[in-house]
Amino acid sequence: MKPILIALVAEIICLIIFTVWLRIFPTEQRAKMMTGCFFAVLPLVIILHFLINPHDGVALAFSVLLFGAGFFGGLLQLYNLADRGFSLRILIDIDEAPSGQMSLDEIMTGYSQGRGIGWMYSKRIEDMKSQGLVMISDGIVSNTGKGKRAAVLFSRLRRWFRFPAVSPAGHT
Amino acid sequence: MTSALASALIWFTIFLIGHLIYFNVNPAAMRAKFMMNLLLIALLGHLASAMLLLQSDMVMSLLWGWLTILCLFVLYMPFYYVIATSLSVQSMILVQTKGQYPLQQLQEAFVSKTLVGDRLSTMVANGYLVEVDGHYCLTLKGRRVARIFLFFKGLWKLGAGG
Repeated sequence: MKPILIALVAEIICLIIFTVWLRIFPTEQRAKMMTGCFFAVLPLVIILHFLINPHDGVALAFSVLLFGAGFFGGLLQLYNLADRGFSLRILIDIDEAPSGQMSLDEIMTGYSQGRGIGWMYSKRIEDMKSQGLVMISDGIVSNTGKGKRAAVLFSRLRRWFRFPAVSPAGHT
Repeated sequence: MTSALASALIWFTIFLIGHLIYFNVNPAAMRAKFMMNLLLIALLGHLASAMLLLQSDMVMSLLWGWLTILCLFVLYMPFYYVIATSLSVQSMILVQTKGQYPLQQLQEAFVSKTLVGDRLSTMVANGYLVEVDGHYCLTLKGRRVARIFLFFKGLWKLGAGG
């Protein structure tokens, strides 16, 4: 049980640190800050492990796996969904609509408190630009070297999983 | 405990290979449902391994193995959904097919009524929304999810987002 408890304590510490941080120092680089928080707390997991269970390397690996999965598969995904979830934003918009319902046209224009679906895609393009995946010149988008490698990799993975080919119709 | 971890890794590998083969044989499958069933098989597989092979400290062997499988699953699924649904990934692939792509055409491709309509249909099928006369309302399940995430948005001061 010790590795599980150590990972749980570390997870709670992470949650408290980044909650307090986000409330006091709002930032746009939230995912980076949260990942930094994970790596700041990771040594604590190792120290706690060696204090409690000094001669068990397998238990240490298990603690790190639990902590990593809880963070990258749990807390970070929770943040990603809360901040960027497309379907989730639609649910919240409908919940906040005065009539409690929305048509497809209303969702197209009213998405994200009235910003519209166009804003959602522009935000993703901006994110890809800031991550160095695409560049835009005179209204023409092209992949950077990093973007090309990502496109080739994901294209191959989509073929392996037999997802339909990406088409300009916008639905795959 | 090393044997329990090894058993968990083997069963998770079976999960990975199993769904990859199944999706290739049956691309139109209900993928999420199949993956959940296969995960259940992996968990039961580890139970069987623990009962047959891991005689010493069986409860802890079970717990470690199950947690390992679940950890690997929660790490894998976000990656799977990036491959499956990410608009950013699909945009880069579309740009890659032609070398370059006009921004306006990209926006028209990915900001279509068809795309949003498809997403709404999926949400209706998954029980988050109901459609009445062309208007979408939240189900109880949809409202609960919306309120839980509204709480986290408020807690972390995330703004509207989306």
